[in-house]
Amino acid sequence: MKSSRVLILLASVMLIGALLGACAPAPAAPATQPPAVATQPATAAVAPTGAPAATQQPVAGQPKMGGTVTFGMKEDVTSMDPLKAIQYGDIRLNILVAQQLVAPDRAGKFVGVLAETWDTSPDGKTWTFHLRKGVKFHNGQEMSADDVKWVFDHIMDPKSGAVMASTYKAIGLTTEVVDNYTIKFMISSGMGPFLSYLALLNRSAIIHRDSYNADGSVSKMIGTGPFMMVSSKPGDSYTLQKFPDYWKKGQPYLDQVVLKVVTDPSARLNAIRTGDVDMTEDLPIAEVKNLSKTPDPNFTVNVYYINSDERLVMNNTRAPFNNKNARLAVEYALDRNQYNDAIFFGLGQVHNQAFVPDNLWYLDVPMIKPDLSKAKEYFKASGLPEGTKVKMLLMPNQTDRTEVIQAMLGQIGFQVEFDTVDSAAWTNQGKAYNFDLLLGTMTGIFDPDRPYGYLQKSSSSNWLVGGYDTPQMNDLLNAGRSETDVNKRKDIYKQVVQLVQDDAATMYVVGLPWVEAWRNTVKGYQSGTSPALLMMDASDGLNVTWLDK
Amino acid sequence: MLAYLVRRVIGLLPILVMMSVIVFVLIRLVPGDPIDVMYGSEGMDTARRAALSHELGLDQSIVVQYGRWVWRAVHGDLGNSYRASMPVVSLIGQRLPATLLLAGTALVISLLIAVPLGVLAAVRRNSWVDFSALGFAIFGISLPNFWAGMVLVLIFAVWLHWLPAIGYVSPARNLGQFLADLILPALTLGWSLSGTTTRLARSSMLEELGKDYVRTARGKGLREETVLLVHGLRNALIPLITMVGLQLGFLLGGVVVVEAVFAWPGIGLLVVDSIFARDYPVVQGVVLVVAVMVVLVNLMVDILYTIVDPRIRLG
Repeated sequence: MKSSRVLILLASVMLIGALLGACAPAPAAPATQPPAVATQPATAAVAPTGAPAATQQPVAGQPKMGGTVTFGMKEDVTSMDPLKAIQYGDIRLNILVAQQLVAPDRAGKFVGVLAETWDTSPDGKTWTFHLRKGVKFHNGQEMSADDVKWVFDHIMDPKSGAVMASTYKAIGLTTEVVDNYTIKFMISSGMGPFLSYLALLNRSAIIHRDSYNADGSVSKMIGTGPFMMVSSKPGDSYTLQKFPDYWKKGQPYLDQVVLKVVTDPSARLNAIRTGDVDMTEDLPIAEVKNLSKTPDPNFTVNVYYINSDERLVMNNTRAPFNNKNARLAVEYALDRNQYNDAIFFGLGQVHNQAFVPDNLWYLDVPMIKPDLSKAKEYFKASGLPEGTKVKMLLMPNQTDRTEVIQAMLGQIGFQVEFDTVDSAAWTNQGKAYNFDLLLGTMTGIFDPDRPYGYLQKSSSSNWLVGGYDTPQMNDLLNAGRSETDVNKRKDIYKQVVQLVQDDAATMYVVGLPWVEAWRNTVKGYQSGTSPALLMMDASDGLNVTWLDK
Repeated sequence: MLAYLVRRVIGLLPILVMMSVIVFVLIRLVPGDPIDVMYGSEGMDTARRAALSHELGLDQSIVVQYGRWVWRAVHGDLGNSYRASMPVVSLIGQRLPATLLLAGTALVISLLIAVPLGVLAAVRRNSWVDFSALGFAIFGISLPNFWAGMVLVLIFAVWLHWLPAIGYVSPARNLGQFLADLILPALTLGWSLSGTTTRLARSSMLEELGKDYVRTARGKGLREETVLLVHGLRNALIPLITMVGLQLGFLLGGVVVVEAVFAWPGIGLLVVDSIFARDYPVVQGVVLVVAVMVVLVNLMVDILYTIVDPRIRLG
């Protein structure tokens, strides 16, 4: 009798525990997952065909001044130096503190940020920028052409380690101060994408030289943005306060922004539910699906699209994928829609190029439809034996792709073996071409030169498209880079996209869905055209966000 | 005793040297270096990579790099974090208090649960109390930390809104908020630690209760509470102290999963993130500091033995 009571008690405890566990959100989800209630139509970084419609409209009513917004960000900042920043966490911080000369607006047109206007010589090799007057750095000093020149000289200094150095060196960039508010940029090539290089906020930000310590490191950025740095606790939080002398008068409305590092997706979801953060990003996809059916009354989840891609990269430099038939077999075997359903719950944008559909640079190149019999024919034509082993390099946040990739490629004769490594090892092995397959992602795309420019050996990122390089592609890319007429560039890049597909150079699979969520007390915020908290062109974002509490 | 303590502290040196060599070499054997992390997919031409490698000292031989690092370390300089651009000592100083506070509180919670439960289970052997305690212990040992944490957050933060889901604020800044932030992560850890400790307390207590001196004490008419707590428990504490010492050493290295679930800025996440980022100075510095702390904890455990059991002499 006693023992039966004990057994019942124990069983009850276990059952309660199991039920509670079933209710708990999944602890870890892949990084590029988009859970959302509202799905925005594609918003474009460069889209003169029409301004994209946003489902979020600014709330009517006077903004209230003051308050602190806490944003739960998924990654830590990896560099306080914006000229070296490449990760999402870096962008989220930098974009509030520092600004660039030009940037794309919501319609995708390049507009001035710190530059008011600019002139271009007929050959596109000389650009004269007229700087905005009265723009102050956070240390009180007014921005001048000297400051801008200093930044670009610093980028070009081999010791600086700036990310854009190789690009600017390749186009032969030099600068010349004309007067206090006018600066000339001279280039020998790269006229087509030049403005997009300047627009990359996290690589060409105009920060004050006093940001740099004697050893070249940056402890505290001194920029021109609406918020200035107060304190940084790496791995924990970054506190920024309103810059009272911000050049856009009346902004920002908030007194303070706290960027809180919350690396676990479920923890971010719990934090937005409880109000421990006011805004956050990248929630577990399974939970977002639930939220789309049963929205939470206290916060809004928004999924939006920007120019970005997840692509399947085949190593063109070694067997088996140096064989075009083998690559074509993969191209016809991989069903993008099924992949999207399996990985992104249908929320990604299936595509064959890195631009969203309503973007200027989205080109009319019909996408190959999956065809299993064709895939098998190409596999047979490749001469590869059934069960050919291929090694796929994965990062930890990509391991959920293994089943669908193995299933799709397995049915045509490949046997995929997966090697999961951390991002540093992934980069190291990728650059050494020690892989057959990998998955690449890219964001911050405003000009076709950025994704497609990788498709030639002269690009230091050529490994990210599997080392593909052909004379025909080289000619097209060089032509696209030198051409300034937009329509002519579109023709060129249309041929590029077609060639990528015909040669199965690499395979653009899906445009990533991006997710942000905010408590309903947060007003005025709209998700942007980049994973950022401030519109690239300084028009709206956290600088026009206010708290209704 | 003093001579013993001096010998133990001196004995720390070869341990630190060995640890530092192992970590120094191991982290550099892993594919990928800090430059790969900093620039990732963006690429960098050979000349600039060489310049940056030289600036970071990565182009030197591993022996030279180690020698330079040791020379600076003995002068109290553990170098600068590549990512945070701040001294490693400052970075550790920022994160260590959170780990110490969480570890200490979790241990106290685990002992408050485990010792009474273990003693009760031993005294009421083969009763429902005993079986419940054993069930609780097995549950605690088997329970993944992240699951336990998530469940506690769900109940107490999301549903009941009694406690925050994430966060950390220094106790000096806001003691009330700090305590509120501390409860759930400390309970999560304490719960999982208490499983093992409960079982050990039970078995240790059972062993003592079977000994002659306990029978003698009862035979002399001492109250049962005195027999159990003054005589039995005191002797049963020795293995428990050993266990607590081991657990504290483990906790001082940081508990990554709990820190991630609660966004608790401790040493665990710092060292894991630094390994992924190939932030060599931080990894080396943290391992060194944690090694020192673990050795000191073991020393304290040895001293505690002598207090609990006068038969034990050190030296």
